[in-house]
Amino acid sequence: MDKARVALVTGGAAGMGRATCLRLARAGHAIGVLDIDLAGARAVADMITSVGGQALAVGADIGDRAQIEAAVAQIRSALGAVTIVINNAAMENFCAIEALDDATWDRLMAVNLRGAYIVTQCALPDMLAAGWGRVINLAAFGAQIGAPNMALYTASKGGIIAMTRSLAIELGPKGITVNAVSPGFIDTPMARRAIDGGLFPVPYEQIVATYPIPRLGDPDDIAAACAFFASADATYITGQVLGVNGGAAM
Amino acid sequence: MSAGRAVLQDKVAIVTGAGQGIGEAIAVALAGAGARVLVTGRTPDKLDRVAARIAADGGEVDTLVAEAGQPDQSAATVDRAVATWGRVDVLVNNAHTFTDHLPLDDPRMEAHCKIDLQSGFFGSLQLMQACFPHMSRQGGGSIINFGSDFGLRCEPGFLAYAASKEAIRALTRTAAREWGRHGIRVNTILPRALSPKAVAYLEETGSHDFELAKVALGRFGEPDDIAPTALFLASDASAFVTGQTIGVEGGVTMF
Repeated sequence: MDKARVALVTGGAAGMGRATCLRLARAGHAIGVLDIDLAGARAVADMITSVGGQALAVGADIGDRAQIEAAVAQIRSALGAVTIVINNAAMENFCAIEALDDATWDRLMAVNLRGAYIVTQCALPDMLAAGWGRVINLAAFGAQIGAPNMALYTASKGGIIAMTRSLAIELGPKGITVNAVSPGFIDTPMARRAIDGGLFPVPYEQIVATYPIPRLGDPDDIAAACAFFASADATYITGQVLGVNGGAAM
Repeated sequence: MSAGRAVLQDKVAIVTGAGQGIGEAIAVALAGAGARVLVTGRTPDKLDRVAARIAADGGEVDTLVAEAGQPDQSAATVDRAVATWGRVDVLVNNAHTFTDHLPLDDPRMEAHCKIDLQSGFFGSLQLMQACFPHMSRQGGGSIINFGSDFGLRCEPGFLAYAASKEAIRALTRTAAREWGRHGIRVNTILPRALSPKAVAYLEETGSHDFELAKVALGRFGEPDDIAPTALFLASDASAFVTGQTIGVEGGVTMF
């Protein structure tokens, strides 16, 4: 088993973030479960501590630097130096370009893209001091192949991919790897809201039937990829974008 | 993921070009995770050494002398695994005979391309075709092919190698689409671990320091850097990963 470290997972209360918290905890890491939904984060942290793991739930809005700074400080103080960051927190948006407004654009970018940079920046001193770090950013397959009515969301995730590569080059010499996991259509609360809201032109079953692996992804499929990048097994991997999408985008 | 957990228990794997380097490291890693491994290559002594290493660790291993790209030998490879163990779950197409670097206008270029394509591309295709009936009957499998960041970069002098490696990526993605419904996943690793031939090239061309400067993680890879990614792709941890290309190259090309 790898050395135990402290991992911060943003958006850790539900879906892929929750699965990643649980998987990293099983790998022996202490988990900072950060989410705007503090009650949900607490439920995840309780699941971890109830089986003997270490976790702390912290409520914070990823769109707000002061809240991120306070949250990272709280996790550092309670669990130790934060050397694994999973930038998972994100908002979705389905909107035709004609109806998109600037406030919506700015808010989503503040969470999905700016938030990831701020969280990484806040944890960076711990990684530099350790000479070791792992940053794992959640992208989205729509950023790789496009998606109608999702220009804002996919633009934010495209930014994540570009930031991943640039930070990989910048931080590699300091022992920090930066990779992206790019999920496909995963069975998360976010995806269920879109399905239930009738946001897809055809029933989702028809969409996933076209994938080489014809099913919705499981949040644990994403967690497994995040855990791989966080592990010693991925020591020589950086700047990569691993699609976990059932072959929906290659 | 830890090789100590037998994530490939009861699985059967074929690793080509396993007498040394990346192939050897992968064979050892898969065996360490519980797989029964058939190692193939051209040199019996090297295969025997790898087999002894795996057996000494308590692994189950078999060897077969086979050259990538020879249809009869590809068929014999899969037949051997199935005859010995009754199934094949993982195919690692690592073997590749690559030619010396050569400018595009050299009259030997076409012959060089054919050598690279025959071993790398056709060799991978032959083994995949031979594995397909078994994997589809079993309800699935994982095929791991090897590309190269040189295929993406298209460095001067490396057409034969780059073309063959990009052809393999096309093979990977086509197979991922055609065979996904059979539960067969197919992915490509772009490795960077220096072979003796690569070291000689870097020294000969005086490009060692320049190439090293491109690596974000500041060192050239070793075979043991590559093997865990093959284990990840072979295991259920990557159950929703297919058709993908993942670079294990220290941050050079960043596919």
